[in-house]
Amino acid sequence: MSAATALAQPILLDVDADGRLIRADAPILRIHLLAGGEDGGTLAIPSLAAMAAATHKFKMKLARTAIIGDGDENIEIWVESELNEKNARLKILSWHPRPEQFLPAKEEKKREQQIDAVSSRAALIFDRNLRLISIESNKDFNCGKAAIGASARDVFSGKDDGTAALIRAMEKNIQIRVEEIFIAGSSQACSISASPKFGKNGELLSYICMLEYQKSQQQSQPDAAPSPELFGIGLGTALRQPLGRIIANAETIGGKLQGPIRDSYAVYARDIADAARHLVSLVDDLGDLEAIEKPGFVTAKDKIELGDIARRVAGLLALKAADNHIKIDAPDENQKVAAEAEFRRVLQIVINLVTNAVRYSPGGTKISIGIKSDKDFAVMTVRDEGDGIPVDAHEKIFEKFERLGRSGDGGSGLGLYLSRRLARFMGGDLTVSNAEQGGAIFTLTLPKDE
Amino acid sequence: METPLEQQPDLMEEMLAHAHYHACDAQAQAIDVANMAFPTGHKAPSDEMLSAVAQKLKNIILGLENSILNTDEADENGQLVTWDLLLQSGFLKEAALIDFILARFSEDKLEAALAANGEISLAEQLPAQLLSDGNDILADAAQSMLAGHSILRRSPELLWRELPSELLHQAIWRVVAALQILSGAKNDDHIKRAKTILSRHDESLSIQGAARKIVHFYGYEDDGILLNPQTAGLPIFTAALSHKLGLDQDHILRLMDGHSSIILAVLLRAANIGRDEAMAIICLFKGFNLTPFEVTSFDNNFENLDIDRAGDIVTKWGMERARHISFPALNEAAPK
Repeated sequence: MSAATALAQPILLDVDADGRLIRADAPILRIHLLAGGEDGGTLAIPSLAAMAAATHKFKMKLARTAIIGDGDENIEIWVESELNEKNARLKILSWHPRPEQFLPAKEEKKREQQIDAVSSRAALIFDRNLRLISIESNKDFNCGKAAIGASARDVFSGKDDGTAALIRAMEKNIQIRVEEIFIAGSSQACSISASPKFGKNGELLSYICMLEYQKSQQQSQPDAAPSPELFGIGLGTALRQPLGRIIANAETIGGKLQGPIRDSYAVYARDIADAARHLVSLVDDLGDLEAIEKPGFVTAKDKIELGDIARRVAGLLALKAADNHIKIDAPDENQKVAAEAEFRRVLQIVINLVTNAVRYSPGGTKISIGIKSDKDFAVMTVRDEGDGIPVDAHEKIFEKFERLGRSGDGGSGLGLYLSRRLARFMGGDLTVSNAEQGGAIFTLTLPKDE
Repeated sequence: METPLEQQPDLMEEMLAHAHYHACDAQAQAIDVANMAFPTGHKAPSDEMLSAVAQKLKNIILGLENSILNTDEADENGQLVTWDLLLQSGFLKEAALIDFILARFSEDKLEAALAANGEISLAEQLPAQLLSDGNDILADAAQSMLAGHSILRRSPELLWRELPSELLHQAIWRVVAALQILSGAKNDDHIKRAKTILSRHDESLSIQGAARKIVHFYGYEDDGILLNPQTAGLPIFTAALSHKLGLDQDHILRLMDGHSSIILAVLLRAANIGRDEAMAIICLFKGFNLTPFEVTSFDNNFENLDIDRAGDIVTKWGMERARHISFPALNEAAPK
């Protein structure tokens, strides 16, 4: 391959302190517009935006290589920058098309078609040091040993080319898609679409990995979510897939992965993602509703321990509660109450109860999960320190789609209805009362394990 | 007639030579095993290293103080004015700064090894050749690099000019702040001089910046020249490796200067350098310290190590470093 040829005339661009492209020679202006930028708007070429921001910040002459995307091609350039009055003037001295090592541009279209064939299943977010800081996944996605704080190298453990390519791309802060990759501790291959997220000044904030099972694998998963009748004929899948894509696209836009956008637009994009997530949870609830109301619905009789379930739920929701300055108290390791009920259904009920308590409790309060064994039943209580529930609504809240006049809080109005139905299917019940000191107490009773 | 006693000195020498040979081998093996078993284990710094770090740190602070202070403000005895305060503030222990100094320490050692083993004169090395190259960009970059080398040899207190821009920005304003605390008042002259230093600083004139520029404009794929440290010189060699492997130049210097030649071998394998060329490079930098174990290990393993696997290992090294080295005070505002 030949050397980077110096341009006869440098390509110039001026960027102001707010990151707006004040003027640019034609080649850069074309790429800026191609990347979604506007004439006079925020520079939409991340590597150049970062260099302009650094020039403004450090007030020095910088000289670095940068890679910019020009449609299907990556261009490696040599850029020198300095402050010119109030603007950062960037001079591009070379223009060197570079073969893409990890993602051949001609494959892009084919891969987009492949991505159309799958639905998003998990999002892993890494910090700028490539430490895992967030895991969001559908319930049927196996995240293996991925744990908060683990390094990307530990999360993606394969020795294959795809893993190495992914890690290299992440380290270089560039976007990549890999068709087959494994999470440590999971034997299921998934495809991954990974993108860096940059801050206002072009600095790397985080790295977002969207993981998806291949369609063929989704169909063959033995432990896939049950497919109730209405949703079994494809409605659930048909709804989840577009919703998954809406969430992924809205996150991409909101995260400014494709270049800077106005902050207000980023907020709208996040609202879209939140709304789509709400719809996904509604679809899940409707699936459960249909399953429960179907004749012949049965639950398994597992030997379970309520203290274990309480601690799991407290662990799962601790971060969410902490966001609202709420503490969750679970029984200690020594407290044990054995029951006979389906493990995942009990977990589902308790998650629902604690999620509701977190949602409606004021900040600075505590949610207490208690367990005990009475004469006939194993009992679990979830108590919050909120306003309590009016006595005349104690039965009403267990009705389908009952929201007690609330809206816009992410609830579907089905959670408590489903929870009570499930509890009763398992031979127990779910009731609510108010504590003397204030706050609501939900009491779940289940058959004891004799 | 010879007595056994008269034979003893020769025998002893031979035995000692054998013992030394095997001891070196065993020590190298132990170091390699330890490196593999405890890759992030810390090694006690040598006195040589501690002394070099202290001296280079002092050079940087002295150079910055000289550039910022008025002549009448400098200490009469040439003592550092802000040293104690900067030490107390923790700035002199910041990972990025110490890493920069340690990379310079490694660079000195590698340059010395190159000079000791290389028989090629400066005029035959790439930077000198580029001075008369028809390409003005390459000629200017080569001139910057050679001038940078020459200035540093003459005036080690100008080492601050080689600081990465982010670190230089941080260092200058820390020195200005320390001076302000010591005098108890804001000094506009100091701030003005600091701003002037920053506005005049040009990344492309630093030795590493010039090397990056040469690598970019010379052509990355011209491996035969750029990836031959004997003819390209250390800065260009490390810049070419840096581009190829995606590692920071200073990181490459520190890895090359590692205890074991196996680290360098992995770097060279990841860069897809041929077996014979790799052995030549290892001999160039490690020649006198290579042990039979290292040579045998290279012979047996170099070509068996998959290039992608080597790349994988190198990527992991880069990630490990990224956890420890950052510029935590990048958002620190400069005084108005």
